Amino acid sequence: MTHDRRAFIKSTAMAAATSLAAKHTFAADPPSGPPVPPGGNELPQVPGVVWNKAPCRFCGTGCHVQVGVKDGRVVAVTGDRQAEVNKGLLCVKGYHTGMILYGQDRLRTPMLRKNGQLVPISWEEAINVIAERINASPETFAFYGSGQWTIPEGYAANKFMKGGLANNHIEPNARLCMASAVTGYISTYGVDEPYNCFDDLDHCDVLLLWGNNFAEMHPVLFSRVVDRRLRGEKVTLIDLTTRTTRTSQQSDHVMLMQPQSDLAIANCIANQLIERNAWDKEFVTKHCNFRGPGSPQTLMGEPISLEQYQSSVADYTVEKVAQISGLSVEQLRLLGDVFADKNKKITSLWCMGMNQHTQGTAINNLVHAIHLLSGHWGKIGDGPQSLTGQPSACGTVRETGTLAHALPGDLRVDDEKGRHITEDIWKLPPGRINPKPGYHTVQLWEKFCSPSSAEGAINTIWVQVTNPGQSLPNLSKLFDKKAELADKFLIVSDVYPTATTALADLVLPSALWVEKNGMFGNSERRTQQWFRMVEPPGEARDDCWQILAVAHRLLELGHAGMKDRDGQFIFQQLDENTQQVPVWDWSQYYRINVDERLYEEYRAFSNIKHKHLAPYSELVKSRGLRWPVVEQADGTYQETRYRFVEGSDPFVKPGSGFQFYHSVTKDDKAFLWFRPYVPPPEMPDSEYPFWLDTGRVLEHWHTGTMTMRVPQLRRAMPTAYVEINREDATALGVRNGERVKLTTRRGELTLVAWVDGRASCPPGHVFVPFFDEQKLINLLTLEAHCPFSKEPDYKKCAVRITKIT
Amino acid sequence: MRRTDYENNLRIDEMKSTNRSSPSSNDSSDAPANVTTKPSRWITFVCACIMGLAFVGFLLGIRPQSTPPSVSKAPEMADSTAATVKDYRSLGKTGASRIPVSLISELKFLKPDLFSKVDRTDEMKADALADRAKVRAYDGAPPMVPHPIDQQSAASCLACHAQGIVIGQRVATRISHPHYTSCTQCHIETSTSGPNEPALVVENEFAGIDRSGPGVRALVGSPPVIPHTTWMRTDCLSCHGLVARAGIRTTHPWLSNCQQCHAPSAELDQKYASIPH
Repeated sequence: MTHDRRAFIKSTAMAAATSLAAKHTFAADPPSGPPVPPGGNELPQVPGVVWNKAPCRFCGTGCHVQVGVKDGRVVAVTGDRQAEVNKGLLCVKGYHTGMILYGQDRLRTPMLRKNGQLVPISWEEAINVIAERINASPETFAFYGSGQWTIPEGYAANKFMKGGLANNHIEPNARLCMASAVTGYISTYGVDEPYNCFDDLDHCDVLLLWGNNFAEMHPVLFSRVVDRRLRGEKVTLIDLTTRTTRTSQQSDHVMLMQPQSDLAIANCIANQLIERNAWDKEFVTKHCNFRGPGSPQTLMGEPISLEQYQSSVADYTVEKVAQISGLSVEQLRLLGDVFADKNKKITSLWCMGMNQHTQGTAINNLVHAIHLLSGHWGKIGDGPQSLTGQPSACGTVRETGTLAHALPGDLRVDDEKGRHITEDIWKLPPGRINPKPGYHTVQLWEKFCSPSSAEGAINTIWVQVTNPGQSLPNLSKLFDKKAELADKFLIVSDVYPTATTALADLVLPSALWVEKNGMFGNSERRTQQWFRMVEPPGEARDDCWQILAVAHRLLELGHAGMKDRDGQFIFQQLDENTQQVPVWDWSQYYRINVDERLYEEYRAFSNIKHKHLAPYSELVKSRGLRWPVVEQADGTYQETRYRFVEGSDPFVKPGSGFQFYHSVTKDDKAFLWFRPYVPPPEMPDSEYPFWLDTGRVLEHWHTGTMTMRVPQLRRAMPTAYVEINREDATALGVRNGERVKLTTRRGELTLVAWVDGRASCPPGHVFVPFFDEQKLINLLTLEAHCPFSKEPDYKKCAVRITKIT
Repeated sequence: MRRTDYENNLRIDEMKSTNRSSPSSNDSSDAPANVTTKPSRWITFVCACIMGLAFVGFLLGIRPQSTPPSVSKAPEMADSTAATVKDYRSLGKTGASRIPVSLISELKFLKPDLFSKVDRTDEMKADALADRAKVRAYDGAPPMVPHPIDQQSAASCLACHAQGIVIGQRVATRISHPHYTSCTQCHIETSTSGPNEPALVVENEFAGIDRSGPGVRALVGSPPVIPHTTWMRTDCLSCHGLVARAGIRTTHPWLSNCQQCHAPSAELDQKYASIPH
């Protein structure tokens, strides 16, 4: 009894100390405006050039740029020195962003396929074609969008589909990119998105990269870490990777692991923490519930006891995991040492390596778990954080809910309450929203590539701001089959001809980046806004306008779903004299700021799960603000750097230190997961003896549609290649620069071999970048996906390599 | 005489470069130092070298012919105006004055004297600025790298660009922002040193801004104000110092506190507050 009381007093005292410490940490480092960089805050002065802010068009880092405009054209781009994310620095893609607008083959007019040829048509005809096609069969229509949709575009598309057509077949390409991070966050903390932010990179002592070529994929953030070394700070980089990259070159420890073994490595770290009695009992007891996978595994699993947890991870001894992973026992012990050290601040980062994974949810759960277990959580520089590859995978897809099961604000279509809230905000008659989730991406394209007579077939897809003809896995099965099916109809809104427009029946020319108003949300919960600065070329028009125009045409055709419960158009906008603004008429579209209207309507959703978005007017003034952005007593708005952490997150109950207020078990605790190692579905064998990994390179972004039109970037990296180990090349008799054929169970592709190039694969592994539309590596990749996130694994399948003689 | 020396040196260079993979090659070039003093040791040494080379040759001979060469094919020219060289040694050959050295460490000492007269004409200046513009998409874009890079580390960039080197008429300027270390994040090659098959080639109609100079002088004889942004340029001497393109070198390199006389112009001081967003 005395013992219990003493323990209680001790734990209370420690909790008080922890919360004080937490407060102190955050108070000591207030967000007191952006630091002034060397060289000052001046912008270059060039006569006639007007500068304006915008987030970069490319990745999820969310750098801000200043765009120089002269005579209606972008003439320069410079890093925005007031931006906290990039502090004035950009990467080579960022510096050349302005040039993506000016590729000679910009799409300038709508085109309809007639007798096999795409021929120019008017916008009116184009909008009619789409509306009539949807009206004829609304339930076989699907929308396929993107993490590059702006927030208002994604919101409008989602409302159009789920609120207007009562059809949930709307998916984003982000399903292929960060869906596993989403399920990872939801099944750990009960609510999506990183709790922490990039400030961690300025403070961590150890940076642990989980299958993430950080130097090439998020170069500005990478610099933010490695440049600290020049200031005399010590930061240890651990590169847990399947190939040696530019990131490895700057890392202190390069740990080459076997594909999929990240699951075993994470469990091995947990096991070492338990064995050494180095886990944070205080933190875990107060803030975590142990969770097991269940049998069979489910997304939310089942509760387990500490003993069950201990016995589950006990299997993952360093010796056994050394066998599975290819890491040495010493390397595994080093990882154990790092997490056992309470005095070091550890930041774990990951992107596609952990997300494009057939056990993507599981590995996300496990990396959160080892941080929670070791107590390396919730302090600046000390915690796990996922990165995104697209500029608005977070802001648009995750927050406005453009996924087949989701509604804005983290609500779900299969949850009655979520539907009611949504119908209420959208002023829809009750029961309008379909409770059945739509098809996820792989399913959606399978259904599009099935004959129309087949059960549940999809007949029409409208693609915006993405290029599935290049980025889907197993392309012959999921995309190219469309060519054989005459009654399928593919609508593509894009800025350049792509592998997707090649099979399109209707092509719509879109406005790009600063040719329209826009908003993005980067991967640290930062909502960003920009204004249109130049006119789009030819007849290109905003994607958002395209959606509103089709919706209005459907209204004219008598589609009941386009009216709200008061009989008004679901996208009705009134001017200051309460007169309807015909936003479906392009000449009137910019009479009001449609972005602001849609965003302010959508903002109501963000308060439901404490994701308070800042008012549009606040975003105009800032270089993005990290939600929740909460109004203060004096009328100012305060952003939040760390959620669930007292002293930073205003929603945390005072005195609790940490509070997971959206906990699945409703007890303010996070789930501390055990998930087992599961071998990958396809592994090298005698017939297909190599591992095939795919990914990006520094110069190109995604499918290269934009960056391949920038000569500087194209010349530096003009073609896809196969990165192959010197030993393997020698055994195959392949010299540098010679052509080889790659064959998997799904397809084959001829590529040039690159030995000892920019990066290097270990023997038995090859790597191919996916940016080159003339060398579609996704003809070879596997569509097997994570059972919960439905995200396919582009990182591992079995391939055969033969020399071309 | 000078020319012969140069050619002799070149031959040694070639020998060094062909034998670079063999550890014995460095010893062989040191050998002449021993020649006059100790003939017997010299004979032993030469024999050892010959045997060593023969042994290495034998090993090379028995290796399978299919070993991939470590140097990939010659890079393509970025465009007709941006000169590209195959390797560091050939940098010297592209210039008018041939410099009889090949080692970067020796080149580092080849700097003009601090007080030597600097000739500068408007023509030279225009040339220097044109040369500068060749490797930039617009004024303000990070310059491209007009030579192959080995991709290995910042240290390999800094071998030349930490101090700056003049090789013939080409200049490796010294880094003007030494607080950044991930060089290839911003600076990429003008043409690839990797695979280069026919690519999707689409013309780009972007027309970037040009340089903003020359700097305004308040009165005849006043020092000109800085005609460009100083952002990311913490060191004026990286472009204007002793190791710099001829036309934009300072005529008074012994004065090192540049901003004492050359002010950022009032126009340049455009703060964020004065622009709309």
